[in-house]
Amino acid sequence: MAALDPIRKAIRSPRGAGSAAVLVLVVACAVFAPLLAPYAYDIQNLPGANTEPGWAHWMGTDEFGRDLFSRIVYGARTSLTVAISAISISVAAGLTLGAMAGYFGGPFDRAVTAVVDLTWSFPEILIALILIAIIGPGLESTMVAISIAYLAQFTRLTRAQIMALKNETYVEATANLGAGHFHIIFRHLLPNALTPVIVAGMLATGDAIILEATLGFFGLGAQPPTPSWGAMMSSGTAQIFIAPWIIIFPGLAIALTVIAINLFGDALIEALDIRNRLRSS
Amino acid sequence: MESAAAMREGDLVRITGLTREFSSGGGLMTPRRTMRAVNEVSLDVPRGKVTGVVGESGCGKSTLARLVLRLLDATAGTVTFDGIDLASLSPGQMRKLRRRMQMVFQDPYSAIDPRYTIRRALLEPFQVQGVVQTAAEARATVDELISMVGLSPRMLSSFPHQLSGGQKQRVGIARALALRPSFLVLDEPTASLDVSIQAQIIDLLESLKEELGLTYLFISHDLSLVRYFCDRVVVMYLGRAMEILPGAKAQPRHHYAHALLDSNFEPDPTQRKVITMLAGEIPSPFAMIPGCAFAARCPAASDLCRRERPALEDLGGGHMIACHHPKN
Repeated sequence: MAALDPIRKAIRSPRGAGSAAVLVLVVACAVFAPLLAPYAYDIQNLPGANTEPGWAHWMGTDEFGRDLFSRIVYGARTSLTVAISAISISVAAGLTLGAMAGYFGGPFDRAVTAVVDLTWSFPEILIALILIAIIGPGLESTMVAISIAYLAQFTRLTRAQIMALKNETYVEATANLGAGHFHIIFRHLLPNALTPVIVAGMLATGDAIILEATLGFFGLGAQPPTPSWGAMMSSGTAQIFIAPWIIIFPGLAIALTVIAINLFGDALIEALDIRNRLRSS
Repeated sequence: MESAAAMREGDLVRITGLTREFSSGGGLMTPRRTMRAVNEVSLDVPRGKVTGVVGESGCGKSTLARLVLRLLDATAGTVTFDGIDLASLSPGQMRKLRRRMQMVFQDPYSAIDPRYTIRRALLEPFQVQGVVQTAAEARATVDELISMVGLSPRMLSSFPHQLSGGQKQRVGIARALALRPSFLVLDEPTASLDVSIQAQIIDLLESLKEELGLTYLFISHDLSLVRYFCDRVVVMYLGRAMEILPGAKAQPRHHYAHALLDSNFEPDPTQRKVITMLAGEIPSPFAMIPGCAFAARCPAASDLCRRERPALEDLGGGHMIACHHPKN
């Protein structure tokens, strides 16, 4: 399939191949967590708390005696679910808003641009914290907060693409055939604008994992006993001198995943040759 | 109103007092400025004939093309197609009418969506117009269209970037003809092609016109090409029709049309001619000139020209001119 060609090309570089392998591993953890985890993630064993890493517990146990490896495997599920669904919502909304604003222009465009520029001027974490302060903590609100925090980026990117594309002759030629706005936007403009937005979305997923971990660290994300890498690190801070593995392993999981996403995204940009289009917004 | 029979004989498209204004600025810091891209142009396009519109870039000829097809709405004036006033149509009726009036674009390189195969691009007109075809019918239509413009059906699965400029323009023509229109607007269809390819495209357009009984409105900046190809020629300058020549043989009498014709190089060295350069500059399109638009550059301009705008007058035989002091 032609759509998979850039991915194939990206995997051919060493950087792309390595990062893709890590990503496959993380996704496998998330999907097959019940099969891969040796213990349940929420079984407490207080006498066995803060056990060092060893044969029984590869990554040791936490302050409640829960198996850290199992919690990290399940934590991949939380992190990926939240990050991927939040970014998907954000990309979908950003594509729609950006396409409408870029295509129709006028007062609607000015209104969208004003709001987008306003949110763009704040760091994402601040927007997410403000939103969570309003709607309350929890996994769903983390998702909503992250998707709104990244909306500006995708709206801007899509709008810039559409504004450049709408002056192409084929748009006028299609209108001259009698095509309506709907046909022009969905059959011509969006398919041509899609690639950079999808890649930006992929890169933002890495940032979203960090944002989810940050919110989890503050206790605003997933509520116990649901395992979340950020929340696990947060509980590890109290034990940092007694059981440093509690904070080290979730931290490594976050770092590895995010680095892999960034490297793979970079390889994909290279393969698609779209660095300029991403920068143009 | 004339009878339907008379209309079939006469003009397919009638343009009356057509004006289009564009404005820029009007923000907080910039004053609003208005320009007239097309200024009270009246023109009839006879059925089965080629009407040429010629003028230098920025004279409003492309805007005129878009107004005729109602890709732009006119500020004032009317366009009637086969007796139907385009401005009176609802979007649905306009969509239906677009089957009968199509356009070939100047830039074949961007006239086809780069993600579309040629096959898909040729089927899009039917999709847009809601014409349902079976797979076999679609295949037959596309094969017929592509061979009509002299391309091989093998090219159908190619993407636009795999085709040459001339091939792309042929696809552009095939796409315009897909819905069997009776009227084609050709917006500088050869301007971005090599000279050798230009002749092929003009030949193709000529034979298609005979074969399908088409009416053309041919827009160009090349007066010698227009005089070769067209039955009637309209010379435009700064949005205004300066002269309408009834045939290829007619000698232009407007000073601007003369200058345009003079600016063409003569390929025969024994027929070398003296090129008279125009003095002065084209006025800004934002300047609202009270008199003749060409007065600032015209060798024969008088006070009258600068004061009063000359009306389009009939010199007989369909030769019209807007000039106070026409050349003899």
